[in-house]
Amino acid sequence: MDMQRIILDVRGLSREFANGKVKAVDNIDIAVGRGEIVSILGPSGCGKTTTMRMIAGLDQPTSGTINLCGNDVTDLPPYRRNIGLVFQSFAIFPHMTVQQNVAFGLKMQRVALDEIESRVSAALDLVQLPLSKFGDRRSDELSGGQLQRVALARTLVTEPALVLFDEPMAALDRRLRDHMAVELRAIQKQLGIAAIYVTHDQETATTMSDRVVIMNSGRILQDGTPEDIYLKPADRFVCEFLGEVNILGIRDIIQTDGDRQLVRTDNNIDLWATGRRTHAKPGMLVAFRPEQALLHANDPGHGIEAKIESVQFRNGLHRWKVDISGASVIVHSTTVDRRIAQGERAWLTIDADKSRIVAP
Amino acid sequence: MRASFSVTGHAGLEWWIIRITCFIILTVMLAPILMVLVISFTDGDTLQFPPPGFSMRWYLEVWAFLTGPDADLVRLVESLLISVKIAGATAVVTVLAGVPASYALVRYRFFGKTLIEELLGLPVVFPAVVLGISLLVLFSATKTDFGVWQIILAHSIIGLPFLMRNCMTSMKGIDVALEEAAKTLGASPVRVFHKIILPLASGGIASGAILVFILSFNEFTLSYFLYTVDVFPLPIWLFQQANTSFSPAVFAVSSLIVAINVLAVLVLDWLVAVRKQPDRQD
Repeated sequence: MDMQRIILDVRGLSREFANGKVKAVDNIDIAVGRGEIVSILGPSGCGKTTTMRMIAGLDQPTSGTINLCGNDVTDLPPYRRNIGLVFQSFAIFPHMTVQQNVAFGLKMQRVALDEIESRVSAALDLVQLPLSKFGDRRSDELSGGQLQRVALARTLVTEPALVLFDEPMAALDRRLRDHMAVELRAIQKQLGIAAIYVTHDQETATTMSDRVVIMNSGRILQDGTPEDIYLKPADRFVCEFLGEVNILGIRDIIQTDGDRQLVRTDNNIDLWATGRRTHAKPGMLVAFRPEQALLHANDPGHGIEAKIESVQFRNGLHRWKVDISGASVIVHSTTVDRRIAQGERAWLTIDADKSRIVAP
Repeated sequence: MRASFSVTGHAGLEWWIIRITCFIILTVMLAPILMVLVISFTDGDTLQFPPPGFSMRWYLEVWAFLTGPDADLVRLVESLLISVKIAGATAVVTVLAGVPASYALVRYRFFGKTLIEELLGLPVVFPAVVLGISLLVLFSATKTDFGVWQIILAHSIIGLPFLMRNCMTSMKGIDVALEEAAKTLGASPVRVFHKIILPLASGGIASGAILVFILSFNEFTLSYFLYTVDVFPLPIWLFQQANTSFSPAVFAVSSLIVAINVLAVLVLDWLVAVRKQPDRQD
């Protein structure tokens, strides 16, 4: 990313509590480019919310710098940062109408009254809440989805350099959430704004964003595209956080061929696997997703012998539970070979670049 | 309500016990006030109960106190005005001091916060006589005379906790995210306070202020220690009148004071109802 395009550049950001005993955020770097939406994904307590609050200026970092459009804003109060924040609770001012809510930021910026009127109207059109119909309503007269639209319009109308989203979908039901995610993404692309989306929901994070940053215990574990972090996870936590995964321990390395290695697992299976950056060492893990393994009725030549334990059919997927030399693994398939029946033998194959060597 | 109580005999009995107890308590509380009201309408010259007949003569007498040629001599108008002035000023002083203090206590952590919170409860149980004596000694020892402000200060001391409790309750109900949202939208702390906190806490502030107004308007003990010839609040006037001439006119004035109090309480109820309205629509 060249310097012109970088909107937010966070370097070495840390936040300690209780005199350094607790490191909520531990030396993290995040960059967000123009028109890019980056998700910070992690379980609750991983430091993602603290990170977001520090970027917004609502919390002070213990160390590190926050650069916005080339200016150091680390010590600026939130009201001088020009960073928008859409709250989880939406935080619509209950004593103001929809119009007054959306106009609030512009009034704070002392924008001329007629300009406020036209910009508020345009912002409400953007989120499909026409001013004529919704302008005079108050927060208690709006649904959850409408509240979110008001919150979005109120943030976007001030044209912030960066917009932060704090789990704004968490309060909505599943269907509305999917719908709003698509819409939010469309608006973000249309306006070309830079955004950070903080969430613990991996599904929303991967569908919403250009890049996903995985956090745990105050650290960034991996920063990459949604495909990258799913298919090429850095460690066990990332693997497991992004969905179902089979994990086997590595006992020995038999052969190395470029970034591919033939490894022997703890339960004496030899298989080819690919590492992300480092080569495998005993004690590391090999991981593969259930949909990336294939089951065969006859040995295709390099298959791993497997015993079928059970099969379930759910949502168009057959979920096989199979035993490979004492380890139970899950395999998904969309079609079934009639010859593979419960209790019988089958052979399992995994592409070398789909079984990944990951840190424990 | 009653249908659910009559399902079992015991519940019915409890219901009657509650009703009778409430009736007795309310009667004991309201009887003296009712008596004052009834006697104030007597047509006799003395405080007889029940009155020999009913008339408005003592109210006309009070009206004469207020407007007649002897008005300056009786000083009822003067006392009434000074009481209103003191109560109004006390409300304003406690709001000016109490609202920012409440916000600080609700939102910030600082050294001695718990101590201050504990101290807030003190004037409620602190004997007013002791406070009255202390202030009297203080003012005479330092040879200071702030006139009407002495009583306003004294009333503010006992009124402040009442205002702050109301104020803090409504401020605690304000979601911090609203303040933070305002900040990220470009509002400085001063404007956050002005545009978000004050409007959202206005109900609590107003009801607290009315409470303080009533408290000050009715206050006797502190006023008794601190009144002067020039600063002569209504409760003191009433006390003096009752001591010198025990005429039914005193009761007529008392009835008027009760009316003013009831009016204030009605305004208070109305404020609470208005404040709760948005919740009801949820």
